[in-house]
Amino acid sequence: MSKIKKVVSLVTSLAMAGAVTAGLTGCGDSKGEDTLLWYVFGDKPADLDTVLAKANEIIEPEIGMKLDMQYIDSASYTSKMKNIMAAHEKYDLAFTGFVNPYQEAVALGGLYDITDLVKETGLDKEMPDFYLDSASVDGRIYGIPNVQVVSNPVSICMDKSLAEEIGVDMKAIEDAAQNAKNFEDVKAYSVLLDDLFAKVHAARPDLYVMNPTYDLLIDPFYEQVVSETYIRKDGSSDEIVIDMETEEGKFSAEKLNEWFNKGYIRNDISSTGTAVASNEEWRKIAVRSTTWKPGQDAYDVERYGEEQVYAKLCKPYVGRTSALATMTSVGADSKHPKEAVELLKLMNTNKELFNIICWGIEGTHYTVADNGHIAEVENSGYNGIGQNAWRFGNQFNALLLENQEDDTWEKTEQMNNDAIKSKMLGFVPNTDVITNELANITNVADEYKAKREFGTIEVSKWDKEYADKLDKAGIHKVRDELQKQYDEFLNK
Amino acid sequence: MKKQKLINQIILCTFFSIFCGLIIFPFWLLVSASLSDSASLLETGYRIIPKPLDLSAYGYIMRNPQQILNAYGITFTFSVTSMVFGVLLMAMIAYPLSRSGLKGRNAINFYLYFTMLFSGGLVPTYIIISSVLHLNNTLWVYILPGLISPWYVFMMRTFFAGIPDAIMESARIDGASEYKILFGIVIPLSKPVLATVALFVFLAKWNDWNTALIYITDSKLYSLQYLLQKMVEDINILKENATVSAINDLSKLPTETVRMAMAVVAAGPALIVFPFFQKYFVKGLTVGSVKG
Repeated sequence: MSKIKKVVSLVTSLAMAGAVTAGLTGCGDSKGEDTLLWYVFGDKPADLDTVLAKANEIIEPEIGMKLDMQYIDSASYTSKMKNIMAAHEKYDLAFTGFVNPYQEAVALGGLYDITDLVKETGLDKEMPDFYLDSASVDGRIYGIPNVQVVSNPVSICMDKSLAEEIGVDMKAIEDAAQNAKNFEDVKAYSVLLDDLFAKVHAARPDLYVMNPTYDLLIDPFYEQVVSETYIRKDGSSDEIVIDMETEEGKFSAEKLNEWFNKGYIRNDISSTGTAVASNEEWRKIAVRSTTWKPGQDAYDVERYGEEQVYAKLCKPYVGRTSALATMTSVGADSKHPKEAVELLKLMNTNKELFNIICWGIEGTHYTVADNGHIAEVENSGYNGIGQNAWRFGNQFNALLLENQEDDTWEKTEQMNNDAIKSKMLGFVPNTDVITNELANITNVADEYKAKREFGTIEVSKWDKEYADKLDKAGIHKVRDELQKQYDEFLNK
Repeated sequence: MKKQKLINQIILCTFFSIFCGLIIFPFWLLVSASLSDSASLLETGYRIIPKPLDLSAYGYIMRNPQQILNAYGITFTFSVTSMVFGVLLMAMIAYPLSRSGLKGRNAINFYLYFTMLFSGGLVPTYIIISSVLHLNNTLWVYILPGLISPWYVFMMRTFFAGIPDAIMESARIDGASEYKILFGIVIPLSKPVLATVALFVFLAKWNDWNTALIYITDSKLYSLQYLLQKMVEDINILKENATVSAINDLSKLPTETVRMAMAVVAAGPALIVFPFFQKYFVKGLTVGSVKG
């Protein structure tokens, strides 16, 4: 009995001690009224405070306030921001985009309407119009796209040595895809792919021939609108269509099945998915489906261990949501929206400030070579922030790393500006009336994902069933509603 | 008759052997994958016996153990604290409720029961915890919310009510106070239910990643399970959005074997704890208390 008591009291006192220390570590971090709070996603760098102090030397004289940046890890960024917005906690700036989706945040009422402030501060003059056009929801702007590459075309690439060995002409494939105007052209392009895959398979049976990361026969020609609805990229038609109801959709499913049966695609793809998590895994795929942007070539040499040849399957194209992937928004309950927008403008215009936030302090966190390119100091406490400079503002302000070409940003900017712009830019579908249908469609699409996207089963065995289920889930209602809204948008 | 019994035994044993196998198999695959080298995992997929045996995944974790050790410390601290205080407080609520003499017993019961049926929902809970109580980014947020679970209180109450009144009666005649009765008689007699609840609370806290997902931004306070969740989720986000932007430096991500090894490291202690509690599950109530 006394033994038990001793053990119990020991455990209790240990627990108490734990609880007390726990209490000590928790203290609020309010930084006062003259500070702008900016949420970005990622892991907090150790030297953040030093870097912010340096950045504030520039920010404070300009806008009269200091900046406090809070990093939230990417795994929980979306859910944490959702709670922060729903609880109306005060914050001034936050990353919105592929995490913390912009349109959802707007719908939640978590973002400040900065349409007027953008004009007042002149921020709208600092970037091409199509960025802000993309971000407008019913004519109002709730966030500023962080300028970066938004027009990267879908592409395939393979090792140059292999391409030469089997004698394929990637340029021919590129031309066939880029110039395809109708279904007949797509068929002709698919023949070239067939030929390429067959040759690769014969030469390197140890590799997976391809990885259906995206649809080689759909994505070069169609832009996804919402869910399983698409629209032509070339602007030849304003009709919103359903994937499997197009000639290309059906054809693509059949082709995928053919490629799967020939062993071009890994046979356990239904369980592994198309995601590729490591460079080693990429090297096991012969024809890699990726996207292309200026500077990609040098980067890919490192990634795949060899020089690559590319076929860009479509011309550079800015889709409806391309610029919405990386943005910065002002918090709905911010007390200093004007200063927040001014800070955003500063991040877009002041290269020195932008590069402090991206790379830290010269000498401590990075070194500059003679040609103006920089190298990060290893384990400096501010590593890897600048590689993702698109989190903070205009990426074209960022200093270049040693392995990047001098004119990377100029070329990227050129590509963005010259790219075909989707006619849908600025069209924000209101999905309130079709929420249930969209959820149902997602469920059905997920169920048939392996069959449709990876080609695991013969098409005739499931296509009718799939079409039927999609119809019951309400795909036609969704299409009609989107079409109606889009027509209204076009008539404006 | 005897033969029938034997056949029954065989059927039962076969059934449960298969059942055990089904449970152990996935876990074994996990362990096996964590002991493989990443290249052969890509080449041949998962194997039941790793070939060649490769400890580099564990080596990778051990080379930079700071984060894991820290998460271990955090998880262990709040799991044990919650377990001790949770069981103590719940027993102290359950005991009076189990006695018939308590006034307003039904009202208190209903008050507890009500919280089982209705909750405030995520956003109001979030507002209370972060804006009113300011518990976010403290260890307390792991411990305090949900410390008292009405379900376990009722479980204990029912168990306590099963202890014969005669025992407490005799204690009272001998001059014992209610506290003395609770800690001297009821609790020692109720080890099975206390152990059960303690284990459940411990496991629930040990496996808690959701709290950190919502309330913790300070990486020093990440719980172990959240660290795992984050690792997998970070990779998913990078993979899903590789085409969106420039995030495509995959070489820095932990390989699949490392992720498996992390899962093994995180699951380990919970597996070891279980057998210590198990003896209490088997033991019945009142192990010979009112003998005469």
